[in-house]
Amino acid sequence: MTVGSTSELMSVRHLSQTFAAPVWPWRKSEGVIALDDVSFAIARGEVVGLVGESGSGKTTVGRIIVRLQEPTSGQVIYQGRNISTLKRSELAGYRRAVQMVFQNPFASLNPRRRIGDLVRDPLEIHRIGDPTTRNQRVREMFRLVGLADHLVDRYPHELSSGQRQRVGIARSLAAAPSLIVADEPVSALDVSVQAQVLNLFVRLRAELDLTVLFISHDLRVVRFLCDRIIVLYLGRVMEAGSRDDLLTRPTHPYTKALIASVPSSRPGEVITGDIAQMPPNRAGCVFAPRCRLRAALNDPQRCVTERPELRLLPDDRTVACHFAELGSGSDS
Amino acid sequence: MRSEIEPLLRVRDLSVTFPAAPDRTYAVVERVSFDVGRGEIVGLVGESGSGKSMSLLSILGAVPRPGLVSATSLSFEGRDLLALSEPARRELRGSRIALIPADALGALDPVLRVGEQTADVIVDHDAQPRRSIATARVLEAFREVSLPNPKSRFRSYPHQLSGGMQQRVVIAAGLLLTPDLLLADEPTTALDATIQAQVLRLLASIRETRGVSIILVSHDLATVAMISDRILVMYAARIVESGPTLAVMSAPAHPYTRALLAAAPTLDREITTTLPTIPGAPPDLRVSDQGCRFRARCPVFEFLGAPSECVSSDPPLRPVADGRLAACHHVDEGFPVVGAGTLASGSLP
Repeated sequence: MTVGSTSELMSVRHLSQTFAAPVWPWRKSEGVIALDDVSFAIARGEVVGLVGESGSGKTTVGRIIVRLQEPTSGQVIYQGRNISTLKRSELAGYRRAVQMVFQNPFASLNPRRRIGDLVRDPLEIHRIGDPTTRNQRVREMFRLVGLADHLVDRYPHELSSGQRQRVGIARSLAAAPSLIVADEPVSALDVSVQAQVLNLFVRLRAELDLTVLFISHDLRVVRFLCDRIIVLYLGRVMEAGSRDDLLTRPTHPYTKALIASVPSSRPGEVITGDIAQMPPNRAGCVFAPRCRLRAALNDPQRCVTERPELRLLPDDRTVACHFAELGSGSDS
Repeated sequence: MRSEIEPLLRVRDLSVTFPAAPDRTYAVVERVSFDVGRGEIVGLVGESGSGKSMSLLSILGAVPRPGLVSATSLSFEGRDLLALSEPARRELRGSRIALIPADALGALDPVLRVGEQTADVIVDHDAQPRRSIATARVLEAFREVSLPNPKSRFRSYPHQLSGGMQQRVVIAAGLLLTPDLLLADEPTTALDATIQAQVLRLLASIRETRGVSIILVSHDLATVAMISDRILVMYAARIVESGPTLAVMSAPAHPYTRALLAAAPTLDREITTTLPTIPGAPPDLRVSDQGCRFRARCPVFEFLGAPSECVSSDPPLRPVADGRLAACHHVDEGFPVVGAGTLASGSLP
C-alpha cells in the first residue's frame, strides 16, 4: 500500500466502527460491527472507488472521513495529520477542504431555499470572499457544473433530478475543496442523466485536479470513473488494486462474485456465483459462508479460524484471502 | 408477431390519458401494442416517466384516477380485460395475473408475520380456505423461491428479513395462486448486486418450471437483457423499438435505444474518457406534438439537418431487420450515433 508516500493526500488507518443497537434480533446483541479494521490511502489527484453492497460499511467510511461520525477506533490522516487531534480552528479548515456529495439530491437540498443560496452557503459558512465575489463564485460554479444562470432563483423542486445533483456538486465544490467524498452520487439517476453527471465528474477532475473518493455499489460506474478500486464486504477490505487488475483479473472470490453478478451487456450469459445470505464469522473470513472457492477447496478450517489479513500480491494489489492464488483463472 | 395462436396477453393501441385542462387530455401511454406469449419473458425498458409502469397498471386495471385506459384490444387468454366487471377483474388479479412490486418492504404489512400475510392471499381468493392447507402451500412456495429456513421465516416480521428475502416473500406470494402472468415492476432495483442476480435467476427458473409468462419492467437494459426473450423499449409514452433480446442488444435500430446503450457504462466495452450522453431531457407530454417525440435529442435528426417528416409526423412502429420493430423514419439508413463517441452496436465481444 502507498501509506506514507509523499503523494498521499489522505489515509484511513485501522478504522473500526461498532454500533450498539442489535439490528438482527436473532443474533446476540454484541453490537453491530460496521467497520472492522479498514485501512487505505488516497493519493493526490486520484479517483478511488469504494465498492460494496449494503452493510459493507462504505457509507460509514465516507461519514467518518467528513467527520459526520466518530470512529470507535482508528484514525483518519489528512495531509499527515490525525484529524481527531485538530483544533477547532483547524477543523474548520478541514471541513472546507473535504466535502461530501450525497446520493439523494431530493433529500440533501433544503426545499425551502433557492439553489443559488444553497451553492453560496459554503462560502458564507467558511467566510470566503465578500458578497460580490461570492455572487461571482456562485455563477462560476453554475457554469462549471453546467447549470444555466437563470436557475439561481429556483427552488430544488423546480429542477430535474440531474440538475439537482449538479447543484449538490456545485455546492460541494464552492469552497474549493481538495477532496470530494461522493456517496452514490448517480445511483438515483436515469441512465441518460447518469451519463451526464459521470462526464461532469471526469471534466471536473481534469479542470480542478480533484481527488475523489467515489462510493458506489455499481462496478460499471466505478470502472468508468476510478483509477483504483477498494472492495468492502461486511466492514472489511476484501481486495484493493488498480481498476484494470481488479476488474480483469480479480483474485478475491468476493470480487469475482461481484463481477459475475453485474448485468452483462452480453445477452444470455449465465449468472455465476450462487450466494446465500448468512451471518458472518468474525473469527475467520467474513465471506467464508458464501465463498465458492472455500467450497471448492472442501471447506479448509483456516477460513473459519484465522482472519485473512490484507496481503500484497506481486502485481501491487492487496487481497484478504488465504487461498487467493488457488482461485486464479476464471471464476470457479 | 405471432398471429396463428392467441397469445396469453394481447395489447393493441393501449393508451392511458390524464386530463391536462378541462377540455384537453394528454397521454402517458400512447398506442402501445405488444403480445406476451405463454412462457415468454418480455422486458419493458424505459427511463422515469416513459410510461412503463403505467402500462403495467393498465393491464392490472389499477391505473389511478382520473386516468383513462383505452385500447382496441387488451385481452388476456382471449378475454377482453376492459369489458370485465370490477369483481371479475379482481378475481383475475392475484390468481391469474400477479404483480411483483419494486418495493417489497412497502408491499408487506409490517405488523403481520410474513407467513400469515402470505397465507391470506389464499384465504382471500379461495371460497373454503383451511388455514393448515394455506400454511402448507405457503411453506411450499417459500421453498420454491429458495427462502432460507422457510419454517422459521414463516413467523418472521417483514423488517426482520433482508431485502433479498423480502423480495423472495413477495415473489412467493405472487406465485401462490399459480398465475399465468407475472408483472414484475423493477423487482431487483432495490437489491444489492449479488442478490439482484439471484432474484433474476429465480424469475428465470420459475419460468422454466412453471411455464409462467413474465413482463419484466426495468430502467436498466442490461438487467432486462439477462433473462428476457424479447425487449420493448419505451420513450415518451410510446414503444420506440421492440424485438428479440439479442437483436436489440447487439444491433439496436432506434436512435434512442442506441443512445441508451451507449450511455450506460459496462464492464466489457472499451473505456472511453467520456460517456456518450443523450442531450436534453424527455419532452413534456402535456405539450402536444405532431412529430417524433425523440427528435429534440436525436443525433440522426441533427445529422440530417432536421428533416421535415420528423417534425410533421410521429413515426409508427414498423418492421426492420431481425424480427424487430422500430419507430423511426430513418431507421433503414443506418446512421451512426453522430457525435456520440462510440456506437453501441458491438456489445457482443
